[in-house]
Amino acid sequence: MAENKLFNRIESIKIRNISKKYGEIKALENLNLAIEGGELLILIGPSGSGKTTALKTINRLIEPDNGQIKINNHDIMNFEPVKLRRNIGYVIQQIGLFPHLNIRDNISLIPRIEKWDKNRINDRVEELLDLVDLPKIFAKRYPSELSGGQQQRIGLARSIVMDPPLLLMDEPFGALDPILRKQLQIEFLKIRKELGKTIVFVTHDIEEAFKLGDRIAIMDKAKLVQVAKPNELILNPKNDFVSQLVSSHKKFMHMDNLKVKDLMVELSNKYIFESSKNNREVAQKMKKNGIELAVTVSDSKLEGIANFNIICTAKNKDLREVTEKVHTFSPEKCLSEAVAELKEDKNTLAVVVENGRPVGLMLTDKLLLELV
Amino acid sequence: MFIELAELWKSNKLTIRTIQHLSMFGIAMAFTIVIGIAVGIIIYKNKKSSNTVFNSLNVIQTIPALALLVFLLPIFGLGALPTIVASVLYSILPIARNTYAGLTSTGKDYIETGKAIGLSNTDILLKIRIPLALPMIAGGIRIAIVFTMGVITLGGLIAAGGLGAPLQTGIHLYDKQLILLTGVWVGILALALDGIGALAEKLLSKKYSYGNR
Repeated sequence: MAENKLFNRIESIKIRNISKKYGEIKALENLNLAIEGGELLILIGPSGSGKTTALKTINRLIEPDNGQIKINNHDIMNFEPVKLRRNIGYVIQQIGLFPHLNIRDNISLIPRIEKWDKNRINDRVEELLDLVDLPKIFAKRYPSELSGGQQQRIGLARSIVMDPPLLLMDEPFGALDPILRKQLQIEFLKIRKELGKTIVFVTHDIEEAFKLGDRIAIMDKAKLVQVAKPNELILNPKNDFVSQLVSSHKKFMHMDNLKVKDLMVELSNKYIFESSKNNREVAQKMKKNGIELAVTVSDSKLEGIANFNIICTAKNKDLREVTEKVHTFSPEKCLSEAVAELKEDKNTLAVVVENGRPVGLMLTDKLLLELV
Repeated sequence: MFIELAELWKSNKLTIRTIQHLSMFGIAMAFTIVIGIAVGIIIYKNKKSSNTVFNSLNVIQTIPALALLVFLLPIFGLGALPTIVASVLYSILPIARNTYAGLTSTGKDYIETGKAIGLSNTDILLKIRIPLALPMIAGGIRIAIVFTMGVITLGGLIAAGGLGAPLQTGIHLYDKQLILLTGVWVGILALALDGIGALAEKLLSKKYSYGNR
């Protein structure tokens, strides 16, 4: 079937050194950005930061003054714009459903131009309505008969009708009321999993960015400031602007986005002792190193922990005999869940374990200091 | 009184005059609509020409309808043809102007969305701009209906037939009853046609409205 597919999947999008000026106003200044296939990249920034301009250069709605954009290593300037756009889904805030077309015709506008046969169009429309969780009878309705949220769902359905491997979204939930927005975000995440597309998503809502984004690109004054994973932005903001935007000083707001490894204390070798060792020897070393906690292992695998005072009272025994069990976490565990577990067990300490080896410590008091 | 009116209607063959009148009207409107919309689209495509075209159409509009009929006499002679030509020339402007305005005023969002999902410029014109301009085009057609009705009636002066003829007869004979009867009848026809136009405009606006935003 001649489907006019330019690419079956996105391997990479490389935006190299693009700039755009409107008169004297700079809309984009030397933007460099690499988007990986399959990821959901958020573009965020205040209005006028160039995020929408950047998005629109990808499907050539806006053509940069200089620089180059490559999709799967093909310069997009070599593609015909109309063809390129049919391979890239697009959803905007204003939805842009055409009022004179019913839902079916809105969704199938491009398929009809590409002369799909009628059954195929009907099947595809029904499939998409199903995907965005709307009843099939909506196909015959007009946009004005639908609520804002329903229209936005149709907008999403229309954007993926040609099954494009890449989806551009320009504040798609921006015009909706907050509760509906949250709901649609959740639905969108679900749909996203089913689709497995590469998505570039513009928003000005940092909460939305953290909720949806695999990586977040922060823009300000026509420039890219920082692009990183959400937790990296919180932990290592590049400058005050980023720090302000992600409220990195209030990490407790980000418990859901942070992982155990982000706030654990790395475990240096001096804390780790073989459990077969004699307590006398261990106590000596601990005293020398000025530590009061021993993490015991056998064959590098975690056994538990032992306290200096207890070790001192049983100097003739092996370390194994005074080792206590300890709560453990994987470094990838969500921080909020880890804290909740610690609280439940009334523990103040846990060991972070990767492949059985102890790699870090979680200390609640230390955690508290980091978070506030 | 009804019998008297019926007699008057019969003796002046108002039924056949009405048929003549409406057929002239129909032919004139058909041409006006096709040419008007075409002109509107052409000047939309060549925006530079829009001023020239609108100015010329405006000049035609400023010529009194009666004078226009006289101007056309040397070319088309007497009868229905010059009448139809005059009314077409006269009524192109409102349709062309509204078509042009409708095409250029399509919401930016729609155009951008159309582009973004991969419509070509021709697709955007045919599938978005023109349908969304239909209510405005209908508004232009309504104005043209009134214009055309007027010019066709004037055609009675140059032997075009139609309801202008009995009106002329009435004026010449100073037959008040005939003038009144024909005049009122033309008025009713004009109102009815305008009413149909209004209905069409309303339906189109409803269907092609810009949604509930």
